[in-house]
Amino acid sequence: MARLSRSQILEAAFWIGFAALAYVFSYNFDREIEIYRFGASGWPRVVILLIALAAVCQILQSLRESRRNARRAVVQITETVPERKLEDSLRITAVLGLPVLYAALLDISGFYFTTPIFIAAYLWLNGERRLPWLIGVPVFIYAVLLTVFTKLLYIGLPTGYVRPFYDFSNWLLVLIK
Amino acid sequence: MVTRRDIGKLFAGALLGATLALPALAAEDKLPASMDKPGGFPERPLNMIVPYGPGGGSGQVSRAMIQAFTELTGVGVNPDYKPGGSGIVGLGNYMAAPADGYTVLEHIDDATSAYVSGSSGVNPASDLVPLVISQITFSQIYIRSDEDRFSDWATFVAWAKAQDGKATIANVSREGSMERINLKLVMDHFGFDLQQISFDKGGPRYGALKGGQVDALFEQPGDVRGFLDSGDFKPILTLLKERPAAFAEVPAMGDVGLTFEPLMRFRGFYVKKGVPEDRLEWLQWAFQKAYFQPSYQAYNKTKFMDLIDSFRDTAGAVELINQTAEGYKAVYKEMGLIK
Amino acid sequence: MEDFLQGTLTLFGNPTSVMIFVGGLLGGMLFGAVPGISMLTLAAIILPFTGNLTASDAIMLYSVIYCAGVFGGAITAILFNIPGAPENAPTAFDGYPMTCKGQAGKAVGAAVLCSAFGGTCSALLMMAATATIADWAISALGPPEIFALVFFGLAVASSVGASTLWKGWLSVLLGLMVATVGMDPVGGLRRYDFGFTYLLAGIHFIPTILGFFAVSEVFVQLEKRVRGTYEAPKVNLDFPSFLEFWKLKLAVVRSVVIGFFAGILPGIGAVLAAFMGYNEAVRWSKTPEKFGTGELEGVVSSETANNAATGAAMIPLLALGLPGGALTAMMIGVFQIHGIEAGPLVFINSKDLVWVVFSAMFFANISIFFLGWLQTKTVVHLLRVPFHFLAPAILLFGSVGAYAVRGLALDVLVMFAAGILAFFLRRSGYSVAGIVLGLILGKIGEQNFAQAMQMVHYDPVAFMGRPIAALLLVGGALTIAVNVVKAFRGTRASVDDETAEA
Repeated sequence: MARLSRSQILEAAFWIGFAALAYVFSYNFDREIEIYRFGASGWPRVVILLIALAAVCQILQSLRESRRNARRAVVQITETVPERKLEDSLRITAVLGLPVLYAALLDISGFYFTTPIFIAAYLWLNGERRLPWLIGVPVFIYAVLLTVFTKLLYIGLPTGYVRPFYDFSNWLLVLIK
Repeated sequence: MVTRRDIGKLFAGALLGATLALPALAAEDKLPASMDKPGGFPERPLNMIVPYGPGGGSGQVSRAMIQAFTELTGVGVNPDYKPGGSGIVGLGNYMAAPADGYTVLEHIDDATSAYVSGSSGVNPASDLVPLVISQITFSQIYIRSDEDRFSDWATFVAWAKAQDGKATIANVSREGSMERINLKLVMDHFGFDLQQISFDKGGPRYGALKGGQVDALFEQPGDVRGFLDSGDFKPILTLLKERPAAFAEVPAMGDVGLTFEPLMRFRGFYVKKGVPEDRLEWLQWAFQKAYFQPSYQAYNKTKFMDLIDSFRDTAGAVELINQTAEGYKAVYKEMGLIK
Repeated sequence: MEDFLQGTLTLFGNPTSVMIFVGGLLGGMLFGAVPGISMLTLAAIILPFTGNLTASDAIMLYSVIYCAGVFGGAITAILFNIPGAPENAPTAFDGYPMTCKGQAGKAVGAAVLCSAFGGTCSALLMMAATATIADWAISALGPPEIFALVFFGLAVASSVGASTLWKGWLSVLLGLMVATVGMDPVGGLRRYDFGFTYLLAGIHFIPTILGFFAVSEVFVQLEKRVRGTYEAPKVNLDFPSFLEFWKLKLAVVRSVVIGFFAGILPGIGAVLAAFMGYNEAVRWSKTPEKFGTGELEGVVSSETANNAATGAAMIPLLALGLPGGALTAMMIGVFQIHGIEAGPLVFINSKDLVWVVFSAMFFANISIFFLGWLQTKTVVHLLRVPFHFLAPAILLFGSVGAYAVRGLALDVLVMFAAGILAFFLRRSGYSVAGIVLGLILGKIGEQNFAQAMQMVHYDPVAFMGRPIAALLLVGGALTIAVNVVKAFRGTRASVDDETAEA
């Protein structure tokens, strides 16, 4: 019997949904440009239709394959999924999420203030519990970053627009230069 | 029904009362030779947000200005290029910076047209304070020098008419941009149509004319100086009322019967409204004075910026911006781009 | 030849120039080889300072960074699965699996030799033919040809790197879709900006690449650590033998030719060169199914091609002022800082400068051959650093690299978001490299399509009347047709998910 796995269905739903949404939103700029017949929406819509087409073909091919496998009565070899602990999954979510938080803070609290805290937090999150390393590694990386980019190359990194972080960044910059 | 021709007339009328003054004489330097730093400001280098890439006209003018500014004051300026969205992205980013005078902005006439069209909420004449306008330039239409189908403006128009809208011209065209409106007013007057082809980067745009992919090019003379000096391109029409000395051979608008006020490209330097008064005064002095530094003057000359007066102080800049805004407003309304 | 000698004398006759040459060489190799930053980071950062150098030193510096950086980017691609620049992406397809198999030294060694060889050949061709080729290219290759080439490139790339043809296409199409965010190339209308000014500027490919390659790789490794399946790669310094290279001579020559000709094209250049070089190697191979599992030929063909494109990219740049990629675009900026307009006049007014650049690139490639071995022996030891120490460093270097391009903190956010997206897409058999290629070529493709349509007045017959464009379009269409038929017959060599990531 031809069957699709749950992840295959999810994937197909994702692409079709994505294409549908993109198509709907393309009405926001669906107007001819006086010097160009296809306007702003022509190209994106062709891409959207091709996405839908490729997604359908992907489903068809998966169906054919599973049917062929079913006919040969081959036992579906399911990957032996290692037991996934909730705690691990939470930690992975944090590993993925913390950098996003860091990036979001750059414009607010600035690069100079936020970076060392981020490094230490990230190390801890990745299982480092030895205090000398938790302090030493951030200091080392931070020093390298400041030396290379601020001292040697004068690149202006975000200072943050919120006080007192803005003042701290400027104080540090004057200090280094 | 409003025809294209009417729009041209209307636009010409809208500006009739507020004629853009373009004195042939260059501005004089009446500023004091030095000025005390107010309360130690600035005690560290300034940041300059340039909302375009480092290689374009804005990137170049900001470096020339920074050099002159630093020669004059000894204060460094770090350029910060933030290209994208026809200058709107850098502008938005600039508005987030504190109004302490440490961050200045470079911007061009696009800031004005974007405000009028509604794509930006920042009015450069009232939300910003112009420190100086340091470049004002006009546009020209260019063809290849070895072109054999036409050789000057009159033969180009005749040839283009015969092509029935299939003749092509390369430009940078955002809807409602300076380039497109100028060209539209020209085409309306002569009653012909060119297929405009938009190239957002200079290199491909000039390459398209040189390689014969397009028939003509709309550009400002400073940007194609290399091709003019090499003899690859030649201008056939200058979008100024009268012929500037450097292009005495090329017909100007008056010669071909065009009466509208041409839209100009201008580039200048701004700070946010709300910068403390004493700091503002110092910055105004420094940027205006820098304009008259020999290094900056020499730079402007290489870009043909000495052909018309390129200098506006704060009051002059506000006037220029407001007049330009009026001009765009009239055309946009007629085109249905704004209400 | 006389010009070349003169250029060499100017280059090495002046101690400052020699220092800049060496600095650019080391800087490019170093920035290229540190995961998270690339030669583009270095080039963007130092751009404002080049005003203090003489014009010829400044241009020479950038050309040396370019040669060294394209090579350096291969090292991180091989060792960490993090290509330093998009043109190194296909290098990771086989380079990283080789590292996992304990053949890092062999892969990097091949990269050194091929980079130096491809680059040197390209420099020689460039010296011989710049003016002639440039003149031909500018009139023969207009928007229709460039669009046709993008189409051909995407048709080829869609069949590489993903677990099925459809996933390959979905990857490329996703990239094309992301490229439409921002302003449309003809009218400047807002597309998918949802009212955010940032999105108006479009999603820049550098933060996206850093996210897709560097950040997602860090996440993958960290996940393995959390789940306890992490294995440190084996450090190994066996260089390939001469015999192994000799067997690949055809691949090398093919890649030199492909790389050089793809590199001439303005706006696409080296990235397409690398993908096409790799793909042709797969297509010509008797054992195509081995590609993606750590085949030396994959590294060789990709690295030869992208370095062969470096010299070629200088042709439109110097002769026409048309940049082929992000780095050559910055070189235009360097020219302009010094009041020089790149273009036909450069050969007349600044002939000395041109030949200093030519000889600098020639010697940079020769130096890579020698310094590359040294660098390999040192950089390989980065593999010994515990990965959880390396991880925040890579992420932060990446943050600086993403930020430095255009000074927007939001680009850092985009980088991490792209990293998370790629983290999930990679494990489902999609090709991250395909997405990136779609993203880079999307804007160019759409713009040139619109220009081409305007030029031929929407007449497909006139479009096909341009022989080069027609040839490429037909070639692309055939490639797609053959792949589709194969996919439905089920004869396409299925690459398992594990090896298809990258």
